[in-house]
Amino acid sequence: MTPSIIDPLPSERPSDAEIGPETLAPMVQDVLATMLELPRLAWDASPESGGRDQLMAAIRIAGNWSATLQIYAPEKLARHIACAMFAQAPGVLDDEDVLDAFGEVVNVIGGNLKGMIDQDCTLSLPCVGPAQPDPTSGGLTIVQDVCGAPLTIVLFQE
Amino acid sequence: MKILIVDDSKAMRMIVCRTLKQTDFSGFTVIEAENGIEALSKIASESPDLVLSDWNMPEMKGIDLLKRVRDSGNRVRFGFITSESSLETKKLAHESGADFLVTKPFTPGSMQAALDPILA
Repeated sequence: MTPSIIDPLPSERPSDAEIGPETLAPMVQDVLATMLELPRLAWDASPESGGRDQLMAAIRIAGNWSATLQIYAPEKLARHIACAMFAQAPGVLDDEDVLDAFGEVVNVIGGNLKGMIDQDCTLSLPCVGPAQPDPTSGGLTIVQDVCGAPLTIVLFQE
Repeated sequence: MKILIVDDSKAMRMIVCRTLKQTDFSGFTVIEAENGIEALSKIASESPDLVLSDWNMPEMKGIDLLKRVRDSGNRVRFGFITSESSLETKKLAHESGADFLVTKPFTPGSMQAALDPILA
């Protein structure tokens, strides 16, 4: 998995309260590597066959430091991630399992992000659902290559 | 030994269960609960030897589950498995009577290290 940085938001706030790409990217990479142990399963490189094109999971940190974290993945990648987490073959999991697993990914990244800030703030519960084909820009954006497919992480800091 | 895993994520409950099986501990039975209310019921009915709970859950936070358990006089061994690893979280967990806290994402090694002093 190789992270790449796209259009980081220019910083106008104190550096001690700002998460930059040099901090976010390795943390995300570590979380994914430990959590998913990919590639656990053979990746099916055939084109998508119907269904939702892309999923988005989001979580919010609020308090002395506030931010919204979003992750985007093609549904096929989200399903692959879920297969890795459940240790199940493709086709066994239903849509609810895929959403649950994808939500847990953003939950763990968000929790680790909150821990890095270590200020008085709270973490929301994750929400997951279909996304627009092109993720909203304007935040710090990292694209993580997972089994040849893009997992996009967007952080909006307030 | 009975271990109760409390997490609103089915995927995470499965990962915790799988990771436990990758440690040196054996001969345990896993019980699951997807929220604090269900966990309180299973603690009462199943008398687990160890509770492994998420922190951030709907309906009842893990820390509130722990407080309810301790307020009832139950001293069951209780650990958090959470992505929230701030110093404040760890301090609150300890002060509320938690035995340990494992940070997500975890490995069989980090799970083993947390459970060794508890289950040895």
